[in-house]
Amino acid sequence: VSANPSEARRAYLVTLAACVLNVVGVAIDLTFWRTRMHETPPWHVISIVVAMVMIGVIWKYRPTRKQWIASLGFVFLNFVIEIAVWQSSTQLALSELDWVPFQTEKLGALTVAVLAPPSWWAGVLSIGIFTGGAVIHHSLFAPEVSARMLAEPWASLAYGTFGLLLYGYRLKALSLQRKMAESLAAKGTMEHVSRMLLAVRDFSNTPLQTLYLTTALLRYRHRNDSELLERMDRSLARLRELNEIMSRYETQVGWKVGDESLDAAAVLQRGLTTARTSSSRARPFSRTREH
Amino acid sequence: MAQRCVLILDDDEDLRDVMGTTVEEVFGWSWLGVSSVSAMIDLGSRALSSDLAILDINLGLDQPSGLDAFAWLGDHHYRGRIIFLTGHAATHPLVDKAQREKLASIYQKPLSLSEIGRLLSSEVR
Repeated sequence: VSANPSEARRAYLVTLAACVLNVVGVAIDLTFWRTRMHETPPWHVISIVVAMVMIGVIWKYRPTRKQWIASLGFVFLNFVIEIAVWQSSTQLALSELDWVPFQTEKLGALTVAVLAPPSWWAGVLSIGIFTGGAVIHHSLFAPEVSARMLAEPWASLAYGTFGLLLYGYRLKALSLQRKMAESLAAKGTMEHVSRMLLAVRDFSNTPLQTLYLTTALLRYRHRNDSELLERMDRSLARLRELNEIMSRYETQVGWKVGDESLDAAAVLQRGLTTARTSSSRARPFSRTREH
Repeated sequence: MAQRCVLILDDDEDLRDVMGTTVEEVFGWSWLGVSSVSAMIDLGSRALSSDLAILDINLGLDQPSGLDAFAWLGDHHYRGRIIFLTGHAATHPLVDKAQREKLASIYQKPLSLSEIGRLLSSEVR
């Protein structure tokens, strides 16, 4: 299970998007092959079928929030795409057609950089599949064929490098975004707790003052019963100490318009409602984490 | 020397009474207790003739505050000393406003008997 559920959700979402892109993209390429080359590359069809099956698999496992399943699915999908592209590239390279070498692999490397799940291995492996596929494929062509591909394998390697850099930058931005979200959540929790403590303090100050003065008055009236009153004084001193500790939280509280008219009981009641709402929202999430 | 009088404005009846009884029995002051700004206004000249006004700041939901009481006293040329006694934090908007506008000294509940004694004496101004 992912340590970060939003990342797991993102992983499933991008893998689903990659499957859909694959179905649409390969279907367009298949139309090209059928209309211009008058044939149906089998691996194109296999790639579409695999992508459609994967949509079902990813959809099924989505509630588990196991990020590795989505990431592995993403890598597997790219592997199948590369096989399909490899087959068609071989045919195009050996033909007399005007062919720009490894265009799909280059596009694939950049698409992965933009789309890959936030598991670094899934992104690196997928970029490696497209870039490595192009480089290996180029090295396997006969010298006279590879000689026609002047920019290769350097162009593919350049795309791969750019893809890796772009992906690294994206992961860093995601990490920063996650830290900011965590920091905001921590700040929100701190403010909530502080507000509750302050409301407790506000609520207790007036009765505490009443107790203080009542004790003082009793002491004034019954000077001989000092033992009992001293006990009460000590308890009040401890309550006052608690009161002072709670007052330190006041700097954490940001007041909003209208708060000044709320009494402490209303703030406590509202705080309880907020906590219950947050708790019920968080519950499904906690349940999945236990799997 | 005439008996000095303290005006106590607080929406908590128990506190109002015990504070009034304390200043009367222990320090020999007379006292007037009111629970709201309107009750204070109803007292009219009696409220204005007191020597010290101890005002709670928050007087309940949607009720005029101690700041309104302060404004009324000021508008009617109150000659006594005014202090705010609040159970709220210094950051509470009403308390913050009173501090920023330097309306009067602000004290946090709970105060001890000796602190109230100092408050009533001329040492604290």
